[in-house]
Amino acid sequence: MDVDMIFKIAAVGIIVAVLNQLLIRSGREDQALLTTIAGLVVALMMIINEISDLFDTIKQVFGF
Amino acid sequence: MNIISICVAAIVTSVLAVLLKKHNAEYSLILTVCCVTLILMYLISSVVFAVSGIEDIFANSSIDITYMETLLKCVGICFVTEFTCDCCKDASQNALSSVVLMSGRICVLITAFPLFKEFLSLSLDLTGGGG
Repeated sequence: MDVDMIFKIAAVGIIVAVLNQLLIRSGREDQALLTTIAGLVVALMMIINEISDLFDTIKQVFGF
Repeated sequence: MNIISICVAAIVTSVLAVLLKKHNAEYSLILTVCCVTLILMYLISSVVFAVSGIEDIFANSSIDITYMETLLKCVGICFVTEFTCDCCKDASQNALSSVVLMSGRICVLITAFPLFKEFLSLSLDLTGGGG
């Protein structure tokens, strides 16, 4: 069970939150939004691979 | 199947999710779905040998193999539907989760329909009421 995936996503979330605050405080709201969206895409890409592995395993084990 | 590691992973993930919920809620949702996926993957990898055991039991018994395949397919459908339904409910999308639940039930019904037919015809033959 590779739990490092959980910590990777948590790290991305925390970094994006900090960057968001940083950019908002320095007056660049639009870049803050772009940073959030970029971080979201990275996290989604990670989790989509994980979910596709899960569904493939289910399909293979239960004979879909 | 190490239950301790599953519980620790779940607790750590829920703490991290609460931490992330304040600043950006979408990451806490992604984190929760990721941890559920990992635990399910771990669960399935430990269930595999049970499934092959069931297949052996059914193989040398007189029961037809298609019944067992249908049974396993229904279990798989319930597995996937439950996972998706709870993830949608976690994201407070109750409409999505109920529609996934309904489609899961209908899918199981369709998969198990030949079984029903066979069972009905068998019972009719037994009671002698059939045509």
